[in-house]
Amino acid sequence: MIRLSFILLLVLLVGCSTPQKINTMALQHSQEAYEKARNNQSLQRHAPTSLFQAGKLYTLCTTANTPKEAAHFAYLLEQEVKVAKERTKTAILKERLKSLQEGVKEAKALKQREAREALEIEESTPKLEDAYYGLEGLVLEQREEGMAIVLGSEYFSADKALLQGEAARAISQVVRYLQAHPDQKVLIAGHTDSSHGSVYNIDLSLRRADRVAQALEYGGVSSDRMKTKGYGELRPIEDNESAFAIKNNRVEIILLGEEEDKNVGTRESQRF
Amino acid sequence: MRAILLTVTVLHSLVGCSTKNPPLRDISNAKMALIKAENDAAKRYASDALVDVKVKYQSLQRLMQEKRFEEAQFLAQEIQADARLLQERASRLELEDQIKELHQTMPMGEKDPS
Repeated sequence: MIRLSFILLLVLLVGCSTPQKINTMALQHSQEAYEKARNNQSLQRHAPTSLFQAGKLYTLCTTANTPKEAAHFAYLLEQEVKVAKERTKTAILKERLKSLQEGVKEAKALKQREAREALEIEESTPKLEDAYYGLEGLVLEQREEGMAIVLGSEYFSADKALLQGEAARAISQVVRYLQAHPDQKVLIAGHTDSSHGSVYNIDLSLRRADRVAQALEYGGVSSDRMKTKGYGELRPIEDNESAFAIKNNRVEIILLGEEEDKNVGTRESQRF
Repeated sequence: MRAILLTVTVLHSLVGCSTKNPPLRDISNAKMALIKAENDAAKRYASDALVDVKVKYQSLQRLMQEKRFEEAQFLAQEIQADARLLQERASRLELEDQIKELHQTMPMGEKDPS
């Protein structure tokens, strides 16, 4: 009886305490997953703690006492590897989010800066309406020297320098404008079409320019602020062979810019 | 008689080495892990997984009532692992959504810096 008990005791002791290597499907799968994970550089970088924990579980797996224990640790190992992968993905996404947020911030700052600069430009640039207030109804065209008030052929008698029609009203408007802008100097340039000879055309264009200057002077504009020139047919704005050639008959009162101001001295009539 | 008593004692203690004490620490950790995992992100992005973990926790409580402590310990440890994975997954999905939303607010023509 004692011998039987002793044998029984021995069997139980051996059965209870000696660890066995259990090779199950689940264990194999978990082992493979772990091997892949621990050699992955990205996981090593972003989830070292999880990989370390997985390593411990791997050891527990391979030295489990029973199949049930091995299966249990294999499950935990697999979950830990998944945790490592999720942490790695999260870390990469965080870097990407940070980069995107910085990009959005920079784009917003750039937009604000551009809007600010556009506003500054707008505020510093006088609007056409403000700059030429008082010249409504008159024809304004940009010339190289500055903005020109164009008095067309309808303001003059044919082939003469006499002002007619709406000329008086136009001259009054220009006088009021120049009185409101006492520093503004003007170049009064006469032009014709090519229907007569060039000498005739130059003479006519200058006489018309002088007539306009005279009218402005009568209105109160100092002659110091004016210069007249006669260009004849040399600067057409329409083809002299076309039906619009009449438009070349005109006098332009050019509002000179600062650069051009330096060239304007006392009243001077020039023929070209 | 003494031999029988000795055998019974030894056998009892050997059987006792495989019958664990109630795994109170593991149960407590499992409960904490579940509470921690049950946040807004998990409810939004991993609701099914969250339900599975809660079902496991109910099974755990049943095992404890039945004094099946070894199984209870294993299940408690599984619940901790599942809850942690659930949390990580929900956080990742939430981040993906944030990135998608940010892409949608970026004006046309602006490139993703990454």
